Amino acid sequence: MSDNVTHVYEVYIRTTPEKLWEAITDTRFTRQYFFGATVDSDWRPGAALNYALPDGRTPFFATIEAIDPPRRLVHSFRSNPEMDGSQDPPSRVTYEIEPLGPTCLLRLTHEHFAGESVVTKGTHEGWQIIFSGLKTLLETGEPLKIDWPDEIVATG
Amino acid sequence: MVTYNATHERGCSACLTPLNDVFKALADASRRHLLDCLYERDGQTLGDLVAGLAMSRFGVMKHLRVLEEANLVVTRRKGREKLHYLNPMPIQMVYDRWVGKYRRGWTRRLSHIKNMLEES
Repeated sequence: MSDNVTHVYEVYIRTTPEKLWEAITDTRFTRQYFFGATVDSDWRPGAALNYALPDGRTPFFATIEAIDPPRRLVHSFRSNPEMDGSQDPPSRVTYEIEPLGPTCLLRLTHEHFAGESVVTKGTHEGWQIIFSGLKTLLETGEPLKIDWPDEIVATG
Repeated sequence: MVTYNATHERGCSACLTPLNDVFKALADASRRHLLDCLYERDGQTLGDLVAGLAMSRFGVMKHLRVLEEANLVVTRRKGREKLHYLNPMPIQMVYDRWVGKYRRGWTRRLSHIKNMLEES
């Protein structure tokens, strides 16, 4: 059996692809649903994709592999070992946005290449929180009010 | 694959997966067992799932269809194979609606403690 562990997350959000893209790529939005993190990048293939948590730490290191606004973003993902002690090789994250009438389907695929680990478990929980927060933010204009669980923030 | 359905429950804010479908899908022990199998190992083919279950191929297909309609299972094609993945988002939405929001931190901490105790 291969060591690949892939998880797929699909969420329907009442918004346009452009707004959804903005919410994924603009710090003013990510701060409100991505564990408070800012995001910064040149948004081109090969560019670093830098997330910074409110305490300044980097939850994971990422490089853009492919980008097609407002439909598709692929980036590498290497968890910050200072945060979770992980030594996993880089994994791959793919965002896909599919417009469906007044709604968008956001699909995120996270492909891990080193079996189950603290990273697969942490990201599995993390993406669920991120996308429910993103949906709430775009549909209501208000962030999902969450008392961030320490252990989830700690494992990014 | 879920298609656009305008009959979603009020308050479900266009999630396109009527909560009725989610609860109906979860109301069956065989379907919950299928979700357990995917939780253990995500991305299985129909053949993988059938091999691990005391259920006919037709039965597994029928249950998978209900789970797909509720968006609890999503599929991706990989070459000639169709892989099935557990999509946790509808259950997360149920959780957010009735349990989450302000209490999430405490609930998760408690479930974390529960897991630690059960594993020790």
